[in-house]
Amino acid sequence: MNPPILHTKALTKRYGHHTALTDVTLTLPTGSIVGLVGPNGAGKSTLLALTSGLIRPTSGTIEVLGSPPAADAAQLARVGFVAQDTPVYAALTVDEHLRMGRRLNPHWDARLAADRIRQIGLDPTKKAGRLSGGQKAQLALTIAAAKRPELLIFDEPVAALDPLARRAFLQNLMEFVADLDVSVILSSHLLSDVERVCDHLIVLAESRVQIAGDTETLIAGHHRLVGPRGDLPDLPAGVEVISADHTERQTTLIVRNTGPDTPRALRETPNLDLEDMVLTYLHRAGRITGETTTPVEATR
Amino acid sequence: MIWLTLRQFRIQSLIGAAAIAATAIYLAVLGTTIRTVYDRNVTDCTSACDEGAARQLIADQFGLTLMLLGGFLIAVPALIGAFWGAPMITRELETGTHRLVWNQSVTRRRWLTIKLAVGGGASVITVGALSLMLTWAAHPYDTFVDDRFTPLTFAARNLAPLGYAALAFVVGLTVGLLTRRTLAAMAITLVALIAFQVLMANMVRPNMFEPETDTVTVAEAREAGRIDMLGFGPDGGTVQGYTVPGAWVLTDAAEVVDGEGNTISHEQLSACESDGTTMPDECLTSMGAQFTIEYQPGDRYWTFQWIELGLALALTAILIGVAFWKIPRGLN
Amino acid sequence: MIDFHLDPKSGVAPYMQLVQQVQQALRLGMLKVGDQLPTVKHVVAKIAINPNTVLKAYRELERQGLVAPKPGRGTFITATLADDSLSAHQALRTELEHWIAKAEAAGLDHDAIQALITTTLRKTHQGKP
Repeated sequence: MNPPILHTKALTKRYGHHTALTDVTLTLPTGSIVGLVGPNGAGKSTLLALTSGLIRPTSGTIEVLGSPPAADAAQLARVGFVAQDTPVYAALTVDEHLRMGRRLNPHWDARLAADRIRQIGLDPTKKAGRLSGGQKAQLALTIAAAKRPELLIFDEPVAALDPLARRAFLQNLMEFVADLDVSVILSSHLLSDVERVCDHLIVLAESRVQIAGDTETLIAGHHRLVGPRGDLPDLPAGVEVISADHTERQTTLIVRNTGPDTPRALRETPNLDLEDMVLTYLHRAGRITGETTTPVEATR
Repeated sequence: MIWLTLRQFRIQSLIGAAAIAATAIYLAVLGTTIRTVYDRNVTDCTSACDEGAARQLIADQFGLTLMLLGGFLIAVPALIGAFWGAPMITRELETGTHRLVWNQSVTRRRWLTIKLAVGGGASVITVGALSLMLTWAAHPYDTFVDDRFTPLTFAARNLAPLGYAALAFVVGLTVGLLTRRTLAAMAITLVALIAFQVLMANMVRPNMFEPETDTVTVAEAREAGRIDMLGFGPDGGTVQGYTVPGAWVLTDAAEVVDGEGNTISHEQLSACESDGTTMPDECLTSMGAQFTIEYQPGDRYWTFQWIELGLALALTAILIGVAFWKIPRGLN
Repeated sequence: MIDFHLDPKSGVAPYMQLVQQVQQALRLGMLKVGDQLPTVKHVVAKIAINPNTVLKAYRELERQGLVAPKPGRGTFITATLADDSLSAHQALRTELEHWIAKAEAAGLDHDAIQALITTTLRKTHQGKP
């Protein structure tokens, strides 16, 4: 049995008085493509930086592929991380970046890298500083993938890209996943992208995990109940009310069924789509802390 | 990793190499000129040779140039610290590329080790080459005028600059790692290195060993031509710029006293002078005028050089320790 | 070979969309026994979706007995959904086109026509369980 790609217990990160991540306990199974969603400042980058070992937790434990992150060169070789804004060396050419990758990574796949650069249509002699945002992202993805890691992590890889470049990046990424048998964690505030590529979901808001799990299971477990105000059926055990909205005449409940079977009361009710489900949790998080949450951008 | 670090360091090393080359040409010419003048006035001198006059001539002709070069050689490590050391890490942090390189299969410790080795090595080689060339060029001057122990010369010859180079680079790098901003790191590095030089020359080095004291009569000193200035004011006389061959004289201004150790007043001197037609110096001689100086003798020169190198390297080691302590903790 | 597409607004799970598109193609005779389905890599590179989604869709089709994987070569169609009714399609379509023209002439717009067809279909089926 492979160790989970990420396993955290009560993971917390504070910067001075500001808490960026609170009490995160997660286990992500191998082979998943995990989408990490949430508003800006929810702690997505912090969680990914902890996972890549760029920063250390204030308290709690974290294991990536069964070992502490960035513990040694061997562990670094197992994880590919592409940071936000996909940093590359402006003064180095595309070719020199590949050379860097070859020299710094023991399992470097030079053919994969060269093929991919050709396929994307990057000029190997061009300085990385003169590439477009989309090309930089593709270069960073190629470097991360050609080191042949077991886990690829992306922090908002497509946030700065136009729709065309975004789609091209995701196509390229999915091709890598199909080719390399690699697990992926990516953060995004674009729910449509997450829905398209991810089979596992983590909703992060107000520095806490609101909900996490297999996407289809989550969607199948969430229902919307609409009825006259005050006249809704008694909910069976194992069904939790996530949100309740009342107008003068109508009550709308969003409920989550955590049991193995769908209770009769919920069978006829429609499931929420991914976007509504995520938004429900984000609104709830915002209400609990009394702060206004920037809703996740729903670009489609 | 070495390749990447060298590649990133390409422009800096080209500038360094160009600076060494330009300085080499200049110092070759200067060294040759000094040797020619020295040979003409000392070695090949056949008639009417006056070593004191020759010393004065050479000191006048090359003293200022060599002093400026010494200043330049002391400034180079500071510049290296500010322009090579400080940006070494801050530039990665400012452009975010540390997040790229730290996620290759190379630990941060190794990354830092290579950066220190390449940058520090280049700094020591650059300054070492400059020091070697200047030491060679100034050699006849240093041995003949015999003033290599004074701060500006001491810090610009032989071993001492190597320590400064290593220290300067590491100060720049470590301050950069702590401040994370290039400009701030450069400014702090420059100030720190200037403070280091000033402290070493004025507070630390003079007191490393108990200085020796010597009482010299004005007559002897005049004879040897080693007094720069002798002046009398209402409060008595002082000797300034007295030099001892090879030694570092710590006393800037020494009070002139008579044979019994009493202050010689201006009136006494005036009285003596108006007494007859005697010259002031003869008056002083007749009074047994003398002064006391503190100095570090010339045979301590190499001890001081090694200690200077050792101190700089010890500080360097401490700062490297700080950098290695900081780097795996992440840059929160 | 067919091309897949994904409609994020449909509310249908992505893997199910792929399954339905294959079924549709089989019904309409666009895919025949022996035809190859696009490789997983081809699909993900084309429409940027999770490879697991494609695998899941192909497994579902396999479970339905419509396709079979041949190791090292790909996934191939083994059965068809097009039956004898396929030959009747052309005539039925022509009739339907006539009917739509009549509906439009009566002032029904696209949505109204769709609603009419859907409700009629449902009622007809409710009549004979």
